[in-house]
Amino acid sequence: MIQAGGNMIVDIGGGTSEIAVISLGGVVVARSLRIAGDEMNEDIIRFVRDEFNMLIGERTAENIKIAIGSATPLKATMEMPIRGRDLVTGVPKEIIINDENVREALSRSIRIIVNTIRTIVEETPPELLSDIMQKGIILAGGGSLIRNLDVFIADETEIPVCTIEDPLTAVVRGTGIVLENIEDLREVLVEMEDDRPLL
Amino acid sequence: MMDSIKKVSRKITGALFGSISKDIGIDLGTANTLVYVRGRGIVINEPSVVAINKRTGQVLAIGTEAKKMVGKTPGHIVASRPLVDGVISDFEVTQQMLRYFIEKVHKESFSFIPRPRVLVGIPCGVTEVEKRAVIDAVIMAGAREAYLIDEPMAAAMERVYP
Ligand SMILES: Nc1ncnc2c1ncn2[C@@H]1O[C@H](COP(=O)(O)OP(=O)(O)O)[C@@H](O)[C@H]1O
Ligand SMILES: [Mg+2]
Repeated sequence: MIQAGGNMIVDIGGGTSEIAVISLGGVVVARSLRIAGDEMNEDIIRFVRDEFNMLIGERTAENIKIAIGSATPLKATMEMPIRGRDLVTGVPKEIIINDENVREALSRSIRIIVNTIRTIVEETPPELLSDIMQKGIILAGGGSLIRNLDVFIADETEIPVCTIEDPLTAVVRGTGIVLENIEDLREVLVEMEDDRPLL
Repeated sequence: MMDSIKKVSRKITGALFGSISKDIGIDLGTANTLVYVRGRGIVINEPSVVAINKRTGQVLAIGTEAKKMVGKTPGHIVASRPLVDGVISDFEVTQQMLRYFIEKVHKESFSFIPRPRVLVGIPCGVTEVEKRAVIDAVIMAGAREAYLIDEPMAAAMERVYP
């Protein structure tokens, strides 16, 4: 059977971050915000443009984020060379970007995600909040792989945080669990309001 | 306390998900699409990107191949993501992408196995119209039946159903 008690899930994907409190197979409070992995790429593009006068593409920005992106200072500094076009001269150039640069670029988006988590915490019924304090916030989605994001969210919310194993496949693994145990888990299927018979 | 819990889901009656059919689970993400086949595990994990020739309307590539083209296409080719902000933004292209993935999975099985029943994750707070669009796209892409699950619920499944 589905475990009783509340859980908070923060799923940071490409287009949206989903923050939800679930209990007994249903969603209690939830918020979806349009700040997630894509926006972080945009943050890096803007930062490189403003600080280095250089134009980079989205793929490059995503590579930087994955290679050296972090939410709090790292034990050892990381850096990588990146290529793009000089905004002034128009010619190609190469610069070195480091983890501190990227942290600064990502800070606004990460701040917005954390503030939204706090809002959801405030809206969570006290019994469920006490479950969440005990079990910790569950981080999922590709965006949760930003270095130290778990630490940062834990510090800011004062709630323990754990990143789910292999966060990029968590949702599809969950659909698999439901399919394999449908007799037990039928209750988690979402019903349509109009109840129109399926095609 | 309990009545403050608004359950979005409820029991669906009927003999769903029998054991003969090949049931599949899909994470239709804005960035990546993953497919789980019951009894087999995750079989597809590719970017949600489709490359289309705008002159002919022809689909040139889907998934990993299409993502390689992003930012490198000539004017008449667009490599784009059919989902935006968690919901379907281009219905036709989403449907084609889903068809490609569902057929890829289905082709590998014996042809007498009925078309799959599909369970798809949706973000919380999507409208009824957006939910209906997901169901219709999955059915038009070749599923026999389509069911929805809230994505955060799916993501937490290992924790709440150990
Ligand atoms: N190691 C990583 N560090 C930071 N971000 C990552 C990492 N791996 C993937 N991502 C980001 O995760 C996002 C995709 O996550 P995913 O959960 O698949 O999204 P969606 O559910 O929207 O398809 C992309 O923005 C990608 O850049
Ligand atoms: Mg997702």
